Amino acid sequence: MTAIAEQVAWQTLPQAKERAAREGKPVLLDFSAAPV
Amino acid sequence: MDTVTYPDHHVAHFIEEHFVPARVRTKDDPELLKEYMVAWTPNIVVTDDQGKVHYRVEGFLQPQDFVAKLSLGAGRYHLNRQEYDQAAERFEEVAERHAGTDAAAEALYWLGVTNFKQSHDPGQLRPLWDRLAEEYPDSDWTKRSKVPM
Repeated sequence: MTAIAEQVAWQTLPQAKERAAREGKPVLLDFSAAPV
Repeated sequence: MDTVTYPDHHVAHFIEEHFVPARVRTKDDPELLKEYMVAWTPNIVVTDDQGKVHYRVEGFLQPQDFVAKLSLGAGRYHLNRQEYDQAAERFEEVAERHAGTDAAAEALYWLGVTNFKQSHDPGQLRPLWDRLAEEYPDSDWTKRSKVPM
């Protein structure tokens, strides 16, 4: 993750799933940072 | 995405308001690429807390276009969960704020579907799809709305 991307508070996927369940929000799962 | 789209404060604000953002390090967990069928990046997947995929955004998008796509993704998530008011809110926002774009045509299509699913009244669907055909006659979404009778 670059410093410029830190405006978005990225979480790990397990953390995001847990919070999504709690808040009833969808998870935005980003693969753009890593080359495939 | 990291140099143009994500640093945009409208994008960051929209994500924080409507999503829980997660970023995976694919080098550490290549199985996730298979699980989410990611063959190319950028690749942004809208999922629920169980990992079910509701929408996908592929390729680079400018901030405004990306927000429109994310709003469509949030709308599809809520539609699939039968949260019709929240779904309609997202689709209406895209149809109005991004008028004239492919995203707005897609939003009108799904707004019609949402209204029908909520009311079970075809009269709630047809006006939206008529508007879609009138405002976006060449859109792929208009073609999809032409159901043979």
